[in-house]
Amino acid sequence: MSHLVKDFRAALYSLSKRPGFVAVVILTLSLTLGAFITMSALNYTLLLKPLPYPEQEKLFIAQGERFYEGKQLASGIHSYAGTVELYKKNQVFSETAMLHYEEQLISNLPGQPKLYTTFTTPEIFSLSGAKMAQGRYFDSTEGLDTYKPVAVITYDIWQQKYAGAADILDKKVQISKVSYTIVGVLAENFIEPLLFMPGRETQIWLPFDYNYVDEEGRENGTNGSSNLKLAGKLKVGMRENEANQYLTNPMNDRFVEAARAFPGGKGVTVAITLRTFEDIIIGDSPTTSLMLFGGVFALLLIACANISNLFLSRAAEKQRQYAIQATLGAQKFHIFRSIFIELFILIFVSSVLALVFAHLSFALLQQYAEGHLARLNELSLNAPILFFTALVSLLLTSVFAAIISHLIDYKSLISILRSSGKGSGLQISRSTRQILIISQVALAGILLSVNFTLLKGSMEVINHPAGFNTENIIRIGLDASGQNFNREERIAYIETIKDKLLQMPEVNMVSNTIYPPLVVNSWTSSLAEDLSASGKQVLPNVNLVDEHYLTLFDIPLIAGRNFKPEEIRDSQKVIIINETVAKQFATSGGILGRNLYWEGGEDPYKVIGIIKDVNIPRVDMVPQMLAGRTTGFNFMIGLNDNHNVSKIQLNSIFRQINRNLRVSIYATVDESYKKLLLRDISIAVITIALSLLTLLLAGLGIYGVLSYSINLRTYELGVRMALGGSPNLISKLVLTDSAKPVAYGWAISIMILIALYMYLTQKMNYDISIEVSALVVTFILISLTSFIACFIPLRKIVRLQPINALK
Amino acid sequence: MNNIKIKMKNITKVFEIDNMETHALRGLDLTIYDGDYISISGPSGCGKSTLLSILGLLDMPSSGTYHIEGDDVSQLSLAQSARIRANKIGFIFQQFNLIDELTVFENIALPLRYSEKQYSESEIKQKVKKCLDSVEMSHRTNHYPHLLSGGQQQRIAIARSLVADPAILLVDEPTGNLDSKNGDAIMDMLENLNNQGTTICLVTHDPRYADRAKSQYHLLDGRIEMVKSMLEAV
Repeated sequence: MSHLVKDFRAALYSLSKRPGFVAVVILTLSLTLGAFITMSALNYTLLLKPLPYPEQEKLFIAQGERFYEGKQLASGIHSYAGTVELYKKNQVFSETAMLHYEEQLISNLPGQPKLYTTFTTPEIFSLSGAKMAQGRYFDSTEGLDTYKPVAVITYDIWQQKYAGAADILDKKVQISKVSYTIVGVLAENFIEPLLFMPGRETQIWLPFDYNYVDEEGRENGTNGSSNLKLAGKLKVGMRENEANQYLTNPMNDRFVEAARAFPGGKGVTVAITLRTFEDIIIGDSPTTSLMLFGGVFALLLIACANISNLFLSRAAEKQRQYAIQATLGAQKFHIFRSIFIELFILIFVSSVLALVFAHLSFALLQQYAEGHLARLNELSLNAPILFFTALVSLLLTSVFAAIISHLIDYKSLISILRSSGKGSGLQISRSTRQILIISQVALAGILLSVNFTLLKGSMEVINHPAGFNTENIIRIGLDASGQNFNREERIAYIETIKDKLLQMPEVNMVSNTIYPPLVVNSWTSSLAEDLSASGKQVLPNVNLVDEHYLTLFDIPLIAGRNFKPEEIRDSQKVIIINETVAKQFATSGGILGRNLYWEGGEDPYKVIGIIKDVNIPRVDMVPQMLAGRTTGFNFMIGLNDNHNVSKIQLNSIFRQINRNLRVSIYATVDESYKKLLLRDISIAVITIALSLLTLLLAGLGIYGVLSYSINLRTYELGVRMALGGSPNLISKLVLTDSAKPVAYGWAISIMILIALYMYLTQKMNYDISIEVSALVVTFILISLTSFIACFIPLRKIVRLQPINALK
Repeated sequence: MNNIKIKMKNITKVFEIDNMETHALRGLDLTIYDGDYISISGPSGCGKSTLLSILGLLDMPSSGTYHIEGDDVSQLSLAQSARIRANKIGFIFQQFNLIDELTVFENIALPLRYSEKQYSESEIKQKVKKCLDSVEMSHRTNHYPHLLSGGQQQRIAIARSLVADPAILLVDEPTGNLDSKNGDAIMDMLENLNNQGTTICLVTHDPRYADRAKSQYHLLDGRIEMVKSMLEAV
């Protein structure tokens, strides 16, 4: 034991004499290992770890799909009445729950915040194995059609909005006119199954009865909503196919019957498909997470190649000390113990730092990647991760120890002193050096090519012009706190609001419009050439706008004209379509001035204008139609340059008009547009950071090996110079020699990239392309890095008088 | 009067180490004629190696003038001195200095490949063969140096020094790493070369071998003096 302590101290002392070496090893290893641990934890959670719900493999969502003549029209939507019927007459689930996802203003909390509310039947809590921090969750007496106003809040809301109040179970949640009694607080570690969309976590749970679908919507058998979900645990013995049949048949019968009532419903059928919770929650996250894992794994390998070289150089440097130890009686075991202890210290410190780094990365991911990657809230430094880190560290220590022991041969150690320094001594062999360079170049080549391909795609999205003005426009939506207005009242209020807004010195234009151009797929409808079942039909996004919409957003008309004020006022049957719709109706005479039938209605709508398509990041060209009419309390406010209006300012104006009016949506169009670019901006930032790190690590690694190799050749180069080799010729020789392993590495990376490309496109059916420009940039960068790594040590030698190189 | 191959006048070499000046050569004059065979000897640290480095343009003098075949080579750039080494100087080192990764043929061909004259492959082949024949090593053309004995390696080094028809052969302790039998054979070979017209400058501390040169110089404290000249004796 005391020997071990002594060796430990000796190793610490020896390392303290080489702070540069220690710093480079620890920094390189802790950063790359930290990233590797982070990505391993993420992929483990996404791909291997079961969801944290009892019998999670039996949990399913019944997903509604709509088909028109066999072609899928929409997925994930349900009709309200049909879903309630399935819930009531459930045959396939042992337990089933209905959920309706909404956002509501909580009027009895300070600032009247808008929170994520989910209206649910009680079963969701037992399905997700919920534990409570306070009180209870909904019981069977609070199920469908019982109308008991109770609420369950999350632990975070309890802490943040109620300051962790001890008497939380006496408090109420007020939403418009209903006051809900809080009956429970979910446990801090409760993880909600995110069935609606990634990153959307419920803050307040309310009984399903109180959802905000109105009477008409509840009875309508054809309307569909993606906010409504039916979840359940499959009965024992029930097969998925069988369940799909049980669910689809009544739903489709009901739909087809209801659809007979209007012409647009002809030929449309619905089906229900079960999808596992896992499938819904994880979505396409593994594509991103596996790619990131591949990236950091390659980075770790580059770092390992670097560190191997550093350790080998250090072993070569310490050979004399080992030789003296061996001559004085140290056995093989003693020497390897001292090497192993030194390695262990370095890797242990790096691993601890790597864990700190991973912990920080988890927080960063949870903050910035929420919504893009699933199950991020389950990431933490837990026992499996600590065990995994220990395992990786042990593996790395063993691998490095094996590499070093391969270099140091105990028998030859003793002969080093006996031959009193003659002979070449301990050297990293030429083949080892070549392998180190080849592997680094190959890995860096793959990593950089993939990075640059991704970066190019993202930069194209980021730099692509939107095709509409996004600056100085605010989008607002107003909530009337449950007060209902008839059409005349609503129009009168809209006019007053517009007038009041225009009186503000900051405002130069107001448009009564539901959505800004960047919102897609919120309202999809149908446009038909004629009313026959065989007529051409297009499914465009709908937006209701006024005559200011096109001017405010600066969207050019390519044919026809804008709406006139009287067309808006009287809701005349005129529409404007975009180029994509126009192309789909491509008829010989053009579509302008022709009539189209909107959602199966019998009155024709005349096309008065065609506008240019706008570009929504990562969305293919969307068919769009604009109908000119006064809508609800949704406005786009155009501001003068360098001016802004706050939500508080707006609220004070609206309160003067009607004390129930409050701003419920407030967003600048520019920021909303940038949010759509967030994914690509993140990709760009990650790929640039990863590329720089790759270049730095590979550059340092290649420099380390090349400068070692070139320094070993100093004498030989001196001989060549003595024989008349000029600096240029010597440089050319060394550069050519060094270029060989770089070229091999590059060739290997190209082969792997092609294999990867073929695998992904042919076996996995990914739609990707090899970016030649990315390969060229990578080639230039790697060549340049290698050239610099070679040139620095070479320059020292060729500037010597030959006699100094021969010393 | 024979042509002057090498003329050094008032050559000095000062090394500065840790702010201390060391005068390795102090105003040295030396003239070597075509067909000469001179030896330079002296005790350790007398400046033999420094003189040989400057003679071979492996280092530059601190002051003084140096001409090879009439060209001033006192202060040259690294590239210029390399060019002259390739064309006009043949080196034979104590450690042979063959390059391990190159075959015997390629080792010998090196000065030709470094020369500014563009030799064709057939010319190179022919010249290398001639030199190999002259040292009786033709049967080892495609061997690597580590497969040869010390004596054989030095013969290859001699062949290499001759391949570009240099103005002068600079020979540094050629027998230092050889046994006496091989050492004698190498010295015989040098003598033969001189008899055929090659100008040779030999640096050695072995008086037995120094005596075989036609002129013998002694170097002491950075200055040179002639001890004996066969030409004068004649």
